[in-house]
Amino acid sequence: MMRRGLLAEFPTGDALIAAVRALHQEGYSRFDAFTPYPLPAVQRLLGWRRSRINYIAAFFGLSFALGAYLLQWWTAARDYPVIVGSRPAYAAPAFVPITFEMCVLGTSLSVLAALFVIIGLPRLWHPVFAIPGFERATIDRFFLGVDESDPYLDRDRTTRALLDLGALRVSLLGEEAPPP
Amino acid sequence: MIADDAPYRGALRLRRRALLVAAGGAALFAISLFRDPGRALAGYLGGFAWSLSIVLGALAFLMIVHTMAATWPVAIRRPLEAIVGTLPLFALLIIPLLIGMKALYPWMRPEAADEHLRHLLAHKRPYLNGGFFVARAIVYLLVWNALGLLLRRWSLADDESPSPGWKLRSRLLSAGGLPPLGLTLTFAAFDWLMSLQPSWYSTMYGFYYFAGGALGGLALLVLAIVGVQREGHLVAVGSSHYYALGRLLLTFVIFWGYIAFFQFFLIWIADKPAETSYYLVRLRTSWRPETIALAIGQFAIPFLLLLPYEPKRNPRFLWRLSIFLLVMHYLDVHWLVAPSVHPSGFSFSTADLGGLALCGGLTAALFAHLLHGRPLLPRNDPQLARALAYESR
Repeated sequence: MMRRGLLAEFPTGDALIAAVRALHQEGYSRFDAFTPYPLPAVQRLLGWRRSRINYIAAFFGLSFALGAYLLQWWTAARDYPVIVGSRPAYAAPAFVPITFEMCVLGTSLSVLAALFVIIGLPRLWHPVFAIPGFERATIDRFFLGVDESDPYLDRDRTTRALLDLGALRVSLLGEEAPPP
Repeated sequence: MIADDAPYRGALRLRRRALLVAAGGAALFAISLFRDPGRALAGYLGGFAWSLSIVLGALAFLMIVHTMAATWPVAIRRPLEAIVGTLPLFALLIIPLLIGMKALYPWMRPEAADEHLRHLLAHKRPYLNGGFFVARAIVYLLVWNALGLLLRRWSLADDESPSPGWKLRSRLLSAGGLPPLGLTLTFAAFDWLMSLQPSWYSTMYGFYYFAGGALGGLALLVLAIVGVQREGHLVAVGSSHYYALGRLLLTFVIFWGYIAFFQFFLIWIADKPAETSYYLVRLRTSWRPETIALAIGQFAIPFLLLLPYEPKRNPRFLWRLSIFLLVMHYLDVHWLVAPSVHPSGFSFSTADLGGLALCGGLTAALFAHLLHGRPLLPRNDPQLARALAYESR
């Protein structure tokens, strides 16, 4: 996630997509986007790969399911057989609800934990918070960032290019120090 | 590339072949009628309930799409509407069942039942009697036909005289029509399928029938889309649309598995004689392999195949899986019908094959006929451009 550079605010997702396309054509390569909902076209232009979090989810979901089933089998059918309602001690259908619920629990907890690790949460402060009105990135505004490290970036020229492409305003990101 | 706002000229081969299949099915059905009318009608009921569930599943999907004003399904709405447009056919197809109900449903001949069942049937008589049964069937078919035909007609009317009013009407009708659809579908499943074993009941039954039908409806929709794409149509429908359909297929595989398991589970764990009769026939006789095949084929295999990301975007894979799912769904309906009329053990007769070919063939032929001669895209729909550009990763 970029910490320094230019941040342009666009009124619509289409305007942001058009701007990324135009800048990409000119040779810019290091972007970041902040939008209220996912824009697959932008993800592709930014070169983002699909997240691999599903493999983490699958591993933990299946492990929890297997563990839950084995635990029930061991405790209720093997180690200390319990007869309930004249059903056999090894009553496989009765084990299924717990197995299923533990699969769901393992999947959701592991995804939550993996997500926090991958995106670096908890993070109490980020340079974008210094931009007034940035909270609308989660409501109805689309922000495009051009990273300071982009070899093509020239503050004045890039600012003008962004405004020409329909940006409502362009702010400088990462100039303010974090609050003490 | 072929323009999709011009009338579609394909599907004639499908119509011809489907009619041939239906003719063969009619012959088989006629032969089996002479041999054993009760078994013949049960086979016919299987084919009827299979075709109908698929069409009603498609109708429910179309109505949900309209209610939510969903964007991407606009690109695939015409094949869906052609499936839904086959509903009037079922008003004809039900006639043999209404004529032969005495041979098919045990509650029509209480004199043949044992004393316990006769007592139960006397108790259920205010609901399970011939006149009310026919009246209810008429109501169900009227409701479904009104919903399906109006939605299709208004969509086609928008091609000739564009107006946002058509879509608004469709949305209102769909939102208001979903509860009646749910109720009629549930009671139709109770009447036509569950009452084959009149001593047994499950409140989950209507849901179960719908879950399989929704899965079948989506599978048929996938086949229709891949089919017209192979002829060079609907080129703008891409991997993101298939991804959306693949996700829905996975959802309904899980939904069906969930409903099927918990219907079984609740009855198994309570273990009351009146409720277990249904599963005793299906698990303790030679029907057992079909029950297991269903659990594996309609849940485990498609679930594992649809879980990874890439296959859901692949039309070739979805085409094959959809054919498999439609076969499994037929097995599912056969499993609902046949063990109830043939409880002594497994039975798959020419009557089953005939009913399947007759009802399925006629439905497919009418579907092809309705697809032919109309544009494959709702060209004046304001959401169409966004629907075609739909992207999902």
